[in-house]
Amino acid sequence: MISGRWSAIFQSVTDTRSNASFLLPILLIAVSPPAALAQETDPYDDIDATAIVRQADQKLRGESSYGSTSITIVRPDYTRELSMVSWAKGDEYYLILITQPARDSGSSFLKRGKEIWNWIPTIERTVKLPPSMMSQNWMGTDFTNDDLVRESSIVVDYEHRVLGEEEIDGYLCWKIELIPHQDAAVVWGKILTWIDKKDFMQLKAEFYDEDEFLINTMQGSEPKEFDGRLLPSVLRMIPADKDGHLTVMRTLSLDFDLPIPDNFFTVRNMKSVRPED
Amino acid sequence: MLIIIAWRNIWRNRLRSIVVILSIAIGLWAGVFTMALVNGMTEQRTRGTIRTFVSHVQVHTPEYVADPDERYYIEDPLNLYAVLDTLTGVFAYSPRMRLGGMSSSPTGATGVMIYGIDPDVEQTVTDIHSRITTGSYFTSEYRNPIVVGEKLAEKLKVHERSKIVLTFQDENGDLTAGAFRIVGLFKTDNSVLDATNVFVTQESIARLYGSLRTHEVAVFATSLEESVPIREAVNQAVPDVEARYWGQISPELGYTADVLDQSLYIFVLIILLAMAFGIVNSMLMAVLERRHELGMLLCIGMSKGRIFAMIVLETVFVTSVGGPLGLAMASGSVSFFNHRGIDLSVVGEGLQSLGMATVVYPALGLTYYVNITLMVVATALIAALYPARKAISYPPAEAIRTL
Amino acid sequence: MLLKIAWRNIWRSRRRSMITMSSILFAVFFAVAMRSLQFGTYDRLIENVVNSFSGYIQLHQKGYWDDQILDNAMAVQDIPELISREIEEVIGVYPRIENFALAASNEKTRGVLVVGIDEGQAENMLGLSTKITSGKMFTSASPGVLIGERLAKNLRVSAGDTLILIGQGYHGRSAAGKYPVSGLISFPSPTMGSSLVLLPFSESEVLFSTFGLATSLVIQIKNGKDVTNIRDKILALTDSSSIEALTWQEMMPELVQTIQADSSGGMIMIMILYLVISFGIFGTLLMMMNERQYEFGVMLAIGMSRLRLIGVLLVEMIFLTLGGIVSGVLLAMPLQHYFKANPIQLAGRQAEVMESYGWEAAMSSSTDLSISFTHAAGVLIVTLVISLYAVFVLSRIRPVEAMRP
Repeated sequence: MISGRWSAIFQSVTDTRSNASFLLPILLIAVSPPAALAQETDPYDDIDATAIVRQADQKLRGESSYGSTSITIVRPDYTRELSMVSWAKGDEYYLILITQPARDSGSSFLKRGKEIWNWIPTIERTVKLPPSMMSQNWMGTDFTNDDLVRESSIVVDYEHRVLGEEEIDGYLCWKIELIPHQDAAVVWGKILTWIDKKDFMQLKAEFYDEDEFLINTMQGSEPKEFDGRLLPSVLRMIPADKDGHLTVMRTLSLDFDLPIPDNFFTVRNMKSVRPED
Repeated sequence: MLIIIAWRNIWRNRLRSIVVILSIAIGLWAGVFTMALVNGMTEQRTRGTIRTFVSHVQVHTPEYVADPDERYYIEDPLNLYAVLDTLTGVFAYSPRMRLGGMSSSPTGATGVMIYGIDPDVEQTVTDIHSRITTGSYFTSEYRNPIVVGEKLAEKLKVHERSKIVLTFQDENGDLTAGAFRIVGLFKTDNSVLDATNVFVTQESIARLYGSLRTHEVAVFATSLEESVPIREAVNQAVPDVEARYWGQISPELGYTADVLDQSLYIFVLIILLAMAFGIVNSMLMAVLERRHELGMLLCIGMSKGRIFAMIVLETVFVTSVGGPLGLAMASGSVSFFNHRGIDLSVVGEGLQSLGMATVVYPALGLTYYVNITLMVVATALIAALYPARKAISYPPAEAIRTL
Repeated sequence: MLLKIAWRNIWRSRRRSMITMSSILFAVFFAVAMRSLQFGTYDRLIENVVNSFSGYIQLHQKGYWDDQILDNAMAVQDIPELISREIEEVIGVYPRIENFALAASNEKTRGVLVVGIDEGQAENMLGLSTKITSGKMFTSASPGVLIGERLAKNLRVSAGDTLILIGQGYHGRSAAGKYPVSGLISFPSPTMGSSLVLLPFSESEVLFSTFGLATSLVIQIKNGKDVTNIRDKILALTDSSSIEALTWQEMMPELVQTIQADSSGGMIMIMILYLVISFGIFGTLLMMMNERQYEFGVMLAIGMSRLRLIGVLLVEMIFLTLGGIVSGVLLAMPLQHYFKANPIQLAGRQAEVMESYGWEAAMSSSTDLSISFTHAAGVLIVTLVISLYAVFVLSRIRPVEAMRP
């Protein structure tokens, strides 16, 4: 690959790779398009991009978590608000309870391993979501059911490579390129993600198809401390080709590693679960 | 005696006789050719649909026939294959794995029917491989190749070499997904199926599903007539499967292929009526022309009945010449065009946009030839009656007057 | 002068003239009859197919047809009343809500297309009550869903069971509802039978939160031929910047193409018919020339110029041809009207197939005047060409030989 060749050429000249982390704050001030930097030299070759991504991913997870979120769906003709609370345990279990608006309040979504269930109180029924629903937009947002239950793993399904550094909202970030493994069941051709160097927050992500057209952009902002972790409290999902379309996800509270038993995540429980506190 | 006179009469006025003979011949030819044409079109449609979609026979488990659920698979396919191998009417057969699922691209998602096939075997049974418009039918090196219809690619806004993700339930009922690379796009005359059917290798889909299952075995026969015998043989010899032939799988196809349109008979009737009137007119005109001769015959004592019979006999003779001539013309043209085909594109742009063949091969079974010949002969004879009656109605004295 | 002679010739031998004229008459008659039956049957087919779901014209929000999502529904307002009042060819304007949803029974789930229709549409246009095979029609008193037999089978439900519909409604609101299955319907096509769920319009408004909206207004008209005209009138009445009006041809180009494809076979049949009738006319003409040989010989012998003789004959032919054509068309007309009102009923297997599609198993006739004109012109041309033979004969006649008895 290109980076290997370049680094070999410049090794004798720079020999600063091991000191990269020291030099970079200085370079930061002088740096103009960091892309230029990445093209000429590739001091990022040795950086374990995967480790960075994993760390960022881990921040969002824990053994378990409980949080409350509000979602705003913006469309040219209307705007919609949703509020929900969610419990998660590892990668296997996930339970979401809608609390607002009143019409949808009490609806819940349960992920158990690879199964997804939906409880609808107005008709008193649980429905197991078939594959045909997985790619549908979840509750009218720009996220798919897939995104919601994170069937694909940003760590496992991709190859990672640091392209350079960029500043986003005053935070210096790694710009990392994610290319899906050949077999990975993801639709994207490429994802670019910006992860803040200090606290490993994902501040931005761009989703491309294989023809390198930008399809979606995700922006993280307004970092807050949630149970000791600094995370962006606001996530914006912006489709590229649709004017006036936007989904905003605002994390209101998030607590980690509470003890939640496995049997909390059952079809039975999803019908009667209530928000904590 | 009358016979000889009738016969001589015919050749005496060659022009008139030739006109009537040709009328009959052309009428016969027209009737047969029309039927052959429409029959040819129908047969082609049937053969085409069988070749591209339905195949001659399909085998599933009885539960699958009632409810196409991936849980119902053929548990002992080898037994079935052994039986199929013994049947001489079987040209080739292709086992398939059939799963319902979702296909998605960065910009869209839609439901699909996933066919897990062995491409080398499948192409002996269906002709999708010959309908590839871009790319190829599985000649590439990709790990998970997929062939989809142009309509689907349009829907998902992808193209050849794009990646799409198929999501479906694995053998445990859990959701699973895999990335597939489009290696070819096809186009058939059924855009609905083009948007729904996708083809992958058995190996790649089984890997994701967890095991290889045979949900369906499609059989291509050596000829259309072998379809039902193959079905019977399979149903008898292999207990836990249900074989159906194309007429059962696609009833609309079955009916339209079985029976020649009644509406067609009506049109042929119109053609024959036209012929009949043509004959009537020609013969009436001839009778008019012959009034001297007929008047003379009456005067010399020939009875009206005999004159009537004479004219009818003349018609019989003329028909017996015109009939075989017409048949020869008919069967000749039908077989000629059967080989060569008639290019309909001059009159039918609709066909092309539907993706259907514009070349038609007329064909007709023997029974129809017989039916139409009988119809023509009957029509000719009936047509002759009126002029014959007219012939004997001339008062003899007037008739022999010249001018 | 020529005219007088020609006229007299015609009346001199009435029999001969009648025979000649009748050959032309029947030529036109049969051509018109065949084509009328062909077109009439297509018209009937179109009527059946179009009335069974799409309607002749549909009104939508501009852009809906290309992007058929619920959010592109149109505001109904008073448009139906306006159209019914102002355009008399319109016999019904029916609102409809169409949207995809997930249907779930106790055992299975299936993606379906939910169609909300009002009772007027159900009865007057779709004739649903005749297609119900089990259970009954839904009413405002006893609302429920009607589903295809195939879908019922796939979902393992029957009349009386409960069906759940969930999905997404207008402006992202979630849609969920529980309905009793009022009845099962035998749908013409297997696709429709396995994916359609019919719901009372008012219920669909509640389900999808589409109050005052419709994804389409389906318009029923008296005479299918006027489609484009009526569509233009409708556009003139409504706000064409926000409303689109599509004809069935624009909505179902594949049906148009299928008919064209079939019609091409019909064209060939007409060509074959023309061959037969041409020969009929030719035969008659041949015999006529033969019969009149003596007469022609005499005319030439007493000094008529050959050219004049040809002229007289041509004028005769023109008279006879025109007479034949007019009477042929006139003879065909009552038949056209009769078979339009009383189509030829088909029986047997073919009928079964057509009926299983929800179509009438009958052949109807078209009363379109253009058919008569086309084939009147066609036969005219054929006859004139054949008359050239007569000219040819006349130019070669040798008077002395001709007068030999």
